[in-house]
Amino acid sequence: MNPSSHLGQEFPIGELMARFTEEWNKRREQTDKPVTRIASFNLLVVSRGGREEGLQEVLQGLAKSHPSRTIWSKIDSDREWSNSTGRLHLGCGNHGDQVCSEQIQICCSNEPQRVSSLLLPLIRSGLPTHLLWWHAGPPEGDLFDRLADRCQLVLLADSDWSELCETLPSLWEDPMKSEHSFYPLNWFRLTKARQQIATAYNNAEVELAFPKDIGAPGPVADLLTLWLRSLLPERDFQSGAVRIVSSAEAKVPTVNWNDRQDPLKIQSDLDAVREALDRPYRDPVFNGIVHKIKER
Amino acid sequence: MPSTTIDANPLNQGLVQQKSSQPCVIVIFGASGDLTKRKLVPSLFHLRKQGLLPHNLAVIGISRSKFTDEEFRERVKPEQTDSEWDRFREGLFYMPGSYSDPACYQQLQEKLNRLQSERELPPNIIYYLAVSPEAFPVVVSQLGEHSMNRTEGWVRVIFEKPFGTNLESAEELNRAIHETFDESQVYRIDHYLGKESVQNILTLRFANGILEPLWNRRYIDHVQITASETLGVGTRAGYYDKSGALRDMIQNHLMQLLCLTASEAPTSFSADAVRNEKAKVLSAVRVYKPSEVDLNTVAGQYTPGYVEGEMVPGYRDADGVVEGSQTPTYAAVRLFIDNWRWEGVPFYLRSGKRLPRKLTEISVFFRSAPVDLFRLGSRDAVGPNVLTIRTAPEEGVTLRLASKIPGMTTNTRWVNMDFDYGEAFGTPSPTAYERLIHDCLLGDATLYSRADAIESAWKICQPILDRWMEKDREIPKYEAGTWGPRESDMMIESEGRFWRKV
Repeated sequence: MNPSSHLGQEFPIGELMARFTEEWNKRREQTDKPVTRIASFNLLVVSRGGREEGLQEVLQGLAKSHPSRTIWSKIDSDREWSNSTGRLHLGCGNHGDQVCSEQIQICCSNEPQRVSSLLLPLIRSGLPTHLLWWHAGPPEGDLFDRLADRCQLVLLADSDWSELCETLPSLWEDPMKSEHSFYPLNWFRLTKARQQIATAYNNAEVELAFPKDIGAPGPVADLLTLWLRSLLPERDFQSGAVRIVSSAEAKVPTVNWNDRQDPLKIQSDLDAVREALDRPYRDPVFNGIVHKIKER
Repeated sequence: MPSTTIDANPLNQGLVQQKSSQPCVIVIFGASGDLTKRKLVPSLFHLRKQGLLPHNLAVIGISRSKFTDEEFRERVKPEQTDSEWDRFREGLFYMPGSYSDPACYQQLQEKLNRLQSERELPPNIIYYLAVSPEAFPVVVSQLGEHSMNRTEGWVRVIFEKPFGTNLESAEELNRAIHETFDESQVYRIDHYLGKESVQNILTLRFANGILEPLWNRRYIDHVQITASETLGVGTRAGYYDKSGALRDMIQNHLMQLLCLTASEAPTSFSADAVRNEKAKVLSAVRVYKPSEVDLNTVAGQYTPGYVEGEMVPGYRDADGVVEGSQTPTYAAVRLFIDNWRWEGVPFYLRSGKRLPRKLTEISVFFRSAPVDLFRLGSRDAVGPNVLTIRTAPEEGVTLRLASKIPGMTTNTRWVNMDFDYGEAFGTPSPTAYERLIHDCLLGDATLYSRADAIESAWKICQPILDRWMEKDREIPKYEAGTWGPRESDMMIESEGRFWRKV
C-alpha cells in the first residue's frame, strides 16, 4: 500500500467521492502499467445496529473469489447524519497491480431516502447489482424497497425465520418485482444437504433427523420440509419414502438411509453467498417453496 | 476529423500533419456571459497552448455590459494561467454594444479593420453567437445590413443552442439566417458532438469489422440512449420552464446520438457525407400522430427528494418556475426508424434532471441466445449481450458477455469487457468546445448540425410537444433522486424490456 494512502481510515461522508478518486489516482501513479479495475458485479450490503457478526469474514472471502464493488451501509439509528462517515478498502488479491475489489463502507443514520440516494450513485453502471440484507430487520420499508428495486438478487440473512416467511410470498409474487430474486441466505446454505438427500432418495427410504432443539420451525428444518413437500408426491412424504423426525439422539441434522447416518452438509454463510451470486436467477424450485409457504 | 497531409511540401511525404487554422478574428456576441468565461476563452487558450492557433488570432467580445479591454481580460482569465496567458490575453479585446443598434456594427467594423491592420490578419472572421436565441435574427440581419457577412477572406458564424423552440421557429430561424449567410458558412453547435467518445461511435462502428455485420434488426433487439443529470434547474429556471427536457436534451443532443448510432456508413469522412447519412436517419424516424404520442412517450416532473445524500427541493419550488408549471423535467420516448436496417427496432431515449446519477450512454441490446443451453430457466441467464458506449462521466465502451464460472458446474455470470478512455490512452481528450472551435477554424463542419437535420429533429419532436401541451391532466411526478416516473418504466416494460439499471 502506498504510505500516503488513507485506505481503511474513517473520514466524513462528504469526502467520499474525493477520497475515492484520490485513491485511484494514487494507484495509477504507483505503476507504469495500466491499472485495471475489475468487478463483475456490485454488492450492496446493509447491516443495522451493529449486528455484523460474520459479515466481515463473508466480504473478505468474497473479495478473493468474486471481484466486485461492495457498498456496505451500516445503519446506526443513534447517529446523526452529520456524523456519517465513510471508509475505503481496495483489495489487490493475487493479481499484482490489478485492483480486483473495492469496498466502500458507510456508517450513517437511519434515513432511508437519504441513504439510498447516497448508495445508488456509487454503483458501477452496467454491472449486475445484488443486495445482501444482513440481519437488518424485516425485508420491507423505504430503504429495502429502494435498494431492492435496483438489484437482481436479494439475499436475506435473517435469524427471524417466521417473520421472513410472512414477507417472502409477497416479495416473490409482486408483479412489479418479477425480475428480482429474493432468497433467504439459508436456502443456499442447504444446497449440499439437498444433494445428499437427493442421493439418498435414489437408493432407499430416507429419514431426516434433527436435534430436538433445532427442529421445526427453524429455518433449516422448515426449508427442507417445504422443499420436500413441494417436490415429492404426498404419499412419499412423511408417511412414505421420506420422513422428518425430531431426534433426541441426533447431535446435528443427519440424513439416515440404508445403514448410514450422514450429517447434513450445511454450508457456511460465505459459501452460501458465493453460490447465490453465481446463480442470481429465479429458481423454479424455490418458487414451489414460496407457494407452500403461502398455502400454510 | 482525422489529421491529414494538406500541402505539397515533399518533406511531408509519409508524415501525418495536424491541420493548422488560418489567422482570423473571432467575434463573440454575448461575451459577458458565463459560456465565454467557462468554455470559450479557456478552450481558445488551451488550443493556443497546444500550438493550434495562429499567434496573431484576435478575439473581440461584445455585450451590453461596459468593460474595458483590460477588465474583459481579467473577467475571462482562467483559474490556472502561465506565461502563455500573458501573450494570449494581448489578443483579447472588448467593445460594449447593443445587438440591435446599427452603430454597434459600424464600431465593430472599424475595430475589425484596425485589428486586421495592426495584427496583420487576413479578412477571416468567425462570429460566435453566444446569445439568447431571440437575438440570433437580430444579429444576423444587422451583420447582413452592414455587409459583414462576406469579406475577401472567409466568414463563418457559430450558433449556440437552442436552435429554435419548435419546428416553426427553427424553420423561421433558418430562413432568416439563409437570407444573410450560405449554409456553408453556418455552424450550429451541439457540444455533445465534440466529445471524444461521441466521435468514437463512428470509429467503433465502421473501423471494427466485427460490429457492422451485427448492427441491424436481425441482431439488435433495441437501443437505449440515456442522458441523466443529478442537478436541478438551478439558475436556469426562467429559461428551462419555457423549454423542458424534450427541447433541452432530446431534440438536439440525444437525436444526434441516435443519428450516429443508426446511420449508414458515410462514403467518406467529409462533412457533407457524414451529415447526409445523419439526415437520412432523422428523415426515417417515424413521426407520431397525436394518438400515438401517449403510447410512446412519457413526461415527468421532479418533486422534493434526496440526491447524493442531500435534500433537494421540487421543480416547482425553484425560483423562476411558474406556479403549477407543467414543464417536463424528464422525458422518455420510444422511436422507430422506418428503414431497411432498423425496421421494428425500438430506440428508447430518456433524459431528466434530478436523477440519481449523472451519465450519458448508449446501450445496444443484442438479441438473446435462442436456446437456454445451460438450462438456467431464466430470461436473465440467457439475457442479451449489451454494448454500452459511455460518453460521461467516464468515457469508454463496455461489452457485457456471459461467461462460465470456473468450476465443475456450468453456471454462468455476466462479465464486462471494458475500455476506458482515460486508462487506455493516458492522455486527456480535448474538451468538446476545443474540438468544435478548432474544427470551425479549419472550416470543417462535420461535427456541426445542418439546417435539414435540425428541422427533421423538430418534426419528430413537435407532435410530442403539441400533445403534451394539450393534456389537461397533471404531469406525472417523480421523486428527486429516482429514475423518473413510474409511467416511464411501464412504457418500456409493456414490451417485456427494461430500462438499463445504471
